[in-house]
Order: sequence, then structure tokens, then C-alpha cells
Amino acid sequence: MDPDTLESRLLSLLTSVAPDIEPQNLDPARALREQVDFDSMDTLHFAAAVSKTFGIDIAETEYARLASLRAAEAFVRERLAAKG
Amino acid sequence: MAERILHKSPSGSVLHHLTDYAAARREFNWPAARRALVGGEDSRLNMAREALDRQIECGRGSQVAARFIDRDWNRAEVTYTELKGRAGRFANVLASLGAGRGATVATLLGRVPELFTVGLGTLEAGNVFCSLFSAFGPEPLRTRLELGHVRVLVTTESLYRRKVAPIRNTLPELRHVLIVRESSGSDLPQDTADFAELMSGASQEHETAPTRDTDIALLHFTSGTTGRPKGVTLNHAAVIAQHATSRLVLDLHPAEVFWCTADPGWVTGIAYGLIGPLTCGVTLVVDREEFDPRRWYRILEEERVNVWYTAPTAIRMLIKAGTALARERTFPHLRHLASVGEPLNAEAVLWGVEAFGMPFHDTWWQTETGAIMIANFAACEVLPGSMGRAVPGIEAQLARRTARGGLEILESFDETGEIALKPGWPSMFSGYLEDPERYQASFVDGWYLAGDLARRDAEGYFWFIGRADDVIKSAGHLISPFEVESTLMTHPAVAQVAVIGIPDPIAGQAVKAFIELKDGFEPGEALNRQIMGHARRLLGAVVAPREIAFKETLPRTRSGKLMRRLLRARELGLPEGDLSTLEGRE
Repeated sequence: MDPDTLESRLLSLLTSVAPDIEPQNLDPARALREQVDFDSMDTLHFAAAVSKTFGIDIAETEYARLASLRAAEAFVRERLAAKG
Repeated sequence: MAERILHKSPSGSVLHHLTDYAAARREFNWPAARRALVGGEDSRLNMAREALDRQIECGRGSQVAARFIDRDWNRAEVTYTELKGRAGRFANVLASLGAGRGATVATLLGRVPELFTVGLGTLEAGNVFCSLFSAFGPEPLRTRLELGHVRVLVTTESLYRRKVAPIRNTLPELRHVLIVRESSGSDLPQDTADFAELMSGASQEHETAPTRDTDIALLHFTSGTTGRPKGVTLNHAAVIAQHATSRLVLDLHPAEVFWCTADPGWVTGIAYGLIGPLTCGVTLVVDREEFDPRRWYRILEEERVNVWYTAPTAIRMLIKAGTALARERTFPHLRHLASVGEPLNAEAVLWGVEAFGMPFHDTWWQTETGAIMIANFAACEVLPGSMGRAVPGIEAQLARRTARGGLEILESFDETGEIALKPGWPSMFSGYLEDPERYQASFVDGWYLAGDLARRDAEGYFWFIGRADDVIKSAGHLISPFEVESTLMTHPAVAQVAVIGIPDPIAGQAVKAFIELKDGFEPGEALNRQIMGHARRLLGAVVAPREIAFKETLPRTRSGKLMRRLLRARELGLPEGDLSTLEGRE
């Protein structure tokens, strides 16, 4: 999968949960919570959207791995690779 | 009514403050509770004095008052004596700024040490302390800073830049903004001062202001259905009830470790995250981070938490994360669990037994009551799903408003009525800021009406039914539909809007908006996102709608009033009730 596409797909899921996010102002390496208003209910909805879109299971204990855009990207890539 | 009753066996290690409920109710009285707290007949009363000076006098000066844990598990401790010194310094800072007694000092901070310093220092100085919710967007903040006539605000640089700087010029009464730096070196924003610098230049010697029971100590904002947010004032006397309930309900003993997970932006975070427990001489655990299941279990174990006060939304998220995660840790020090914020379902109460070997004890109160009013007690049997029984010193009944504007107290059991409390307890709110009519309207026939509906069984246990009004309770936060609607109306595409709470498996309720668009705007995904983004930017993520639905027309009464009740009934598939006032075109 082309990484640009993965990032942009994640970004689109992110902005569907939190449409106040301005992608151009988002530092992909920094935790979302440090940059924008993103509460635990948002995390829950983002995880559900990622899980559905990519067909991967995400346990509640793994939500921390979605803390930043870059982290989420690595996590999804790892899960997709494991799926084969 | 109860399917299960959880009986208790006599506790092994700790003698509970309340062992016999009936006897405690019989013997308790507020004048005696006041004397026990202040140690005699002193006419002065100050929350900070009870939380700090009194503890130091009792020999707890070198005990840790609070232990703060940051993201990387660094722990910062402050003893009672150190906290007293910091509070004194801040009281002197306020004097140097010319913010005299009575002026309101607000914080917009997370769970950081400075919050404790500012809160206690403000109270010690005889000023009014107002802790604002740091997840609010600029619009709710502007309303609250203005209504509260806030003179001094303490916040961080990033919160200031994001939320306060854009509205600063609309707040002429806000004279001083003190910045708690997150990193050194950067330039402070214009018209702000460095909190740490002011503190280091101030003496820690300060004499506690000779406040009395009826002097205002705290300002908390809460939400009603209509109009502006309600600025609830609590007097210094509230500490009597916050102390009594910290003992009788939370069962706190000196030197125990207590963890209250509430945000300091809400009343629980101050009454039981700061003042009440310190007056009991405990050590507070304060986690600076947000909810995370693995992290929370680690804190409970490693910090050796004895008593834990948390909220249904968090408990439901822990349940969702699975009991196996709890099994990775052991909790030999944990002995009492309590919950507050919204009704705790029976499954969650019982899950406590599964995960920790003890049930969660639900408690009920609200900003206006200033302290816990109804509770399940550590030594008494728990009826899962019940709010519990009236706290000693509190007379609670169920009532119905009569057509003539009076009140009928319900005598028989299992009838649904509004919770009514007999005034006379010391933490009852002393007013709604600049809204005496609204304050008066909260009392009928000599009873305070809480706006919550409940039933009561023959044993005196209350069972929550719902709100009597349209206020939304989401993840423990009280949200005014009116405040959300007003903000949505500022979007150029929105013609009309109605906001309701819909059931959410985790948060209890979630905010949903029904929107009628202006001519020329087409409903669709793009506009949906645009409006939601607009709401989140202005209101903050916690308050903004999670869902938006576009409607051709919204149901209204003939007099033009939105029928939120009907929207909710339709959304949930409930009976639509009396539609005689529904306007024809809907």
C-alpha cells in the first residue's frame, strides 16, 4: 500500500470524527491530544472507524497506539502485514 | 425492586466511619459536625485553613498531601507544609496584583500542581475560586469568564493561545492572566505574566483571611436547559459537608491514599479532588493524563490506592477493555470504590466485585448541593443499580409540583417524583450569579428541587429515573441544549436547530443536533462536517454534537417552542405523548 494513501485515508477518518482538525496544521508525529481538542470519546470513534475501514481488530488497550497520525499509520501497517 | 443485594461482612482492617446507618442518621447534626471540624466554636471558617493549617496542627505537616504523576511516570510530591507555603505565596501574589478579597480567580488548567496552589491560595486569601473546564472551547469560556467577572486567570501558554487570546479583547474585567509555562525560554504572549516568576518573588508567610460561613468560596458553572450557564456559588461553610461526606461516604481516614479521577473543571474535582479529602488528612493521587485502562490499573496498584472515586463512563470503558487486564495487577490496598457523575448501572456495580473483589458504591449529588446527598455506604449492603440512601444530616424526599405552583410530597413507595431536599445543610448553594429569580425558582414550599426524577423503595433506597428537564448528561458532563443550539445558530447555513441527548453505551448520553437548513443550502456529508467542525472549534469536543441530522422542519409548539421531547421520543421509538400543542406544518 502506498504510504501517502494510507496517511490520507487515516486523515480523512480523523477529520470525519473531528472535523475541526485542519490537516495543514497537524504535526503527524505529535500526539493529537496535544494539538487539538480530541477527547476519549473521539478516540473511541476514531478507533472504531479505523477498525471498520481496514478490517482489523483493535483492542481498547491498543488505543494508545493511535495517539498520533504517524503512530496510527505504523500500527495499521503492522496489522495489515500480519493479516497478509 | 432489587434483584440482588450485596451484603457486607464486617471489615477487617479499617473501622468504617459509618457502621450503623439508622444510628448515624439519628445522631448526626450539622452544628456538631461544624464543631468537630473547626475544633470548637470559632466563628471564622475557611476552606483552605481546614485543608492545610488544621492538618499541620494535627502533625501531618510532613505527610504528602498530593502526588502528581505525569505522562512518563515521573512523580512530584508536595507535603501539607509545602502546599501551605505555596498557597501563602499565591495569596500574596493576589495581594500584589490588587485582586482584593472577594475578587474571582479562575484556573484553566489540567490536573497540575499549580491548580492546587492557586485553588487553596485563592481560598486562603478570601477570594472566590473558579476552576474552569480546560476542554471548553472559546465560546463557553467567554460566557463564563464574563458572567463570573473573573479578575485573574491562571492557565498554560497553549490553552491561552488556543482558547483565551481570541476572546481576550471582549473581557475588560479580566485584568491579569498568569501563565504556567510548559517549556522555558519562549516569549510569553502579550499582556500576560509569568506565574512562576510572580510566585518566586512572593513571601510564603500569609495569614488566612478571617472568612465566615456565609462568605462565597467557590464558583462553579453548570448548565440549564435555557439561558446562560448557571454560576453556582458555594460558601466556605460547604467545607463542613464536604468533610463530613468525605468521612461518612468515601470513608476516608488520615494517611490513606485516595484517588479521585474527576476533572478539576467540575465540582467533584474540587469538592472531592481537593478540599474534602485534604480536610481528612489523606494523600491524594493525581494523574495528569487522560483515561487509559492499563495506566489506571497500574496507578491503583503502584500508588497503593485505598479509596477510589471515579465515574460510570470510565467504569464502562474499563469493562469494555476486559477484566483480564485488571487481573494483570493486584490491589491488596484497595478497600472502597465509589462512583459519581451519572447513574451507575447494576452491571457496573457488580463488575467491581469481579475485577476488584468489591462493588462500586454509587453516590448522587449535583453542583447546587455542594456535597454528596444520597449514597451507598461502605459498611452497608449495596443494592446494585440504586443511588443509595440519604446521607446523615440530609432530608431527601420525592415530590411532585402541583398545578397551583405548590409541592406535593409523595408518601407512598415506588412512585416517581422529583428529588426534593430540605434546606439546612451547609453546602447548599448560596445563589446563581446575577440570577436571583432562577435561584428562587429552585425552591418550592421550602424544598430545593433538584430536577432529577427517582423512585424510592420501602427501605429508603433511591432509584434514578431521568432528568425532569432537557439537560444532557454526557460522560459525566452536564450540557445545556440551549448553549449548543445557540452556537450552531451562528453557522451561516443553519436556520433552526434542536439538540437532544441520545443513549450512548459508553458516555450515557451523546449530543445529537437536528438542523433545519436555510434556503440555498443542500444537506450532505460536506456540510455536516463543516457544521460539526464549526461547533467543535467554538464549543470544544466534549460539548459539541457527535451527530448531526438534517430535517425539513423541526417539531414546534404553536407558540414556536421547540419540542425536544418529541424529537427524543421519535429518535428512541418511544410513545410520542400529548401532541395537542404541536404546530400543524410538522
